[in-house]
Amino acid sequence: MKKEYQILLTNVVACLVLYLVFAYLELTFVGYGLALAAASVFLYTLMKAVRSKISSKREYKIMAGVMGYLFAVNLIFGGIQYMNASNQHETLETIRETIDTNIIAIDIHQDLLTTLKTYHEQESGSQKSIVHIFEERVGDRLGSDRVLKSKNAAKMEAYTIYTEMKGDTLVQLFTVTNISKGEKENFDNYNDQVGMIQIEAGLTERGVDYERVN
Amino acid sequence: MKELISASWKNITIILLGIVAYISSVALVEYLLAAQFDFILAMFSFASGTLMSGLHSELAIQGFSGEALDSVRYWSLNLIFITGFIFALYIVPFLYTKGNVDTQNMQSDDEERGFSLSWYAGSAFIVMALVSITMATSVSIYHYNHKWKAAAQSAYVDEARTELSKAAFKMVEKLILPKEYGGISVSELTAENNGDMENKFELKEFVDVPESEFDISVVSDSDEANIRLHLTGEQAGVITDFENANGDKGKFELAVELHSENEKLFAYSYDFENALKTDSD
Repeated sequence: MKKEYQILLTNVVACLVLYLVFAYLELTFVGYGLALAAASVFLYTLMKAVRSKISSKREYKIMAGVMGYLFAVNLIFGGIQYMNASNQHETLETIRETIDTNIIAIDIHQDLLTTLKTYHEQESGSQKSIVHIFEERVGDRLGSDRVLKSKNAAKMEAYTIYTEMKGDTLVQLFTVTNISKGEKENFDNYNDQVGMIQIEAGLTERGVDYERVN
Repeated sequence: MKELISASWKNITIILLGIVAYISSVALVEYLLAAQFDFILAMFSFASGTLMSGLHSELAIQGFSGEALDSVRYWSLNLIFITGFIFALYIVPFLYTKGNVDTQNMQSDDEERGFSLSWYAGSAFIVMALVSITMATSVSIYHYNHKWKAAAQSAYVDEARTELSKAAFKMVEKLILPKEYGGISVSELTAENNGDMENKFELKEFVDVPESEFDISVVSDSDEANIRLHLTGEQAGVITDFENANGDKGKFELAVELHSENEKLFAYSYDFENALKTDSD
């Protein structure tokens, strides 16, 4: 069995090195796939090496069948784990994106629509501009850097809202997420990030123009 | 005849050893699992791929919260996984093969028809490995089908809520705007309509609606200023004879009540009018 021990040792080392290299590159499933491929080589080599040592053909066929089955089921199992992992990753990304975009929509519309309402409810003659009303409404939440703080401080970690006023007739909001990725990977965001979700909203006396641009 | 008896004993011993070893290892794993001993789990479950899936779940959850996975945790899971993998696909098949070769050598050298120690160990482990990985794969296939079907249904409901929210914002805006800017008044929607207590409109009568798999209707009561948006999906709802707002029957429906007069803007006051039908319904 000396030869078989050599086969075991070299194959185990090869499998270990192969997997750990890909784990280091954070490509664990590629490593898993290659480890399975390496295992198939090992099982084949092992069976070939003991062929002459098993006199009964029937016994050898059973052994080979057992090895083949063990490998095949492991392969299917690995495939399912891969599909599970990639679906889970995708699902969590979608959930995160849904939560972020819905919270942003509520956050922005609450400020913009209530500003719009106050603007149109003014008595004629004593009209304040829409920009003025917006600034009054958000008050201290609008910093000197023109970043609008959310009413809920915890939401600020998920996204940042930047404001720009055009004269006294247009309020523009640029919202960029800090974690959720947008559809275009190379999209240049308003705040110099790349590939994050960006939502732009403009408020005039005619209403709200709201659009997700990435 | 002697050979036949010997072969039968060999097979019975394999099966018994496998059953005993498998039951005791499952009990051991169950016990250790409570203590979160991933290492033993990987070694004795013969399905270390579960750990790989677990590692990716942790990575996905960390990604969800915007944090990176602790490198000690990452490497410990990787090392446990590959150790379990090597045990299941290298050591166990090797022991099994060695056991058979040793036994054959023993039997050809000796008149006695005994089995080598490696044969007992190899046979027990190979039976455990085959049973365990087969069970783990069957369970994975079953769960895979159910889990992702449920996830797709949940995503469908989320999408419906998002669509309905967008529509609600647009309608609230229309109710705020004066007529000269394209606005509509509550009285236009709630005016009595030939004695009907309820008025129904299609959303596209008031706002531009992009192509969607959902129909959204505006429903108002003529006796009170109560305006709701009803979203009807293509998929079946739980109540089969439910009258949908768009005229369909038995479809999934979600509704919100508009509050243009306060900061809340709208609320899912009616929540699911007719909840999505799932496999368990």
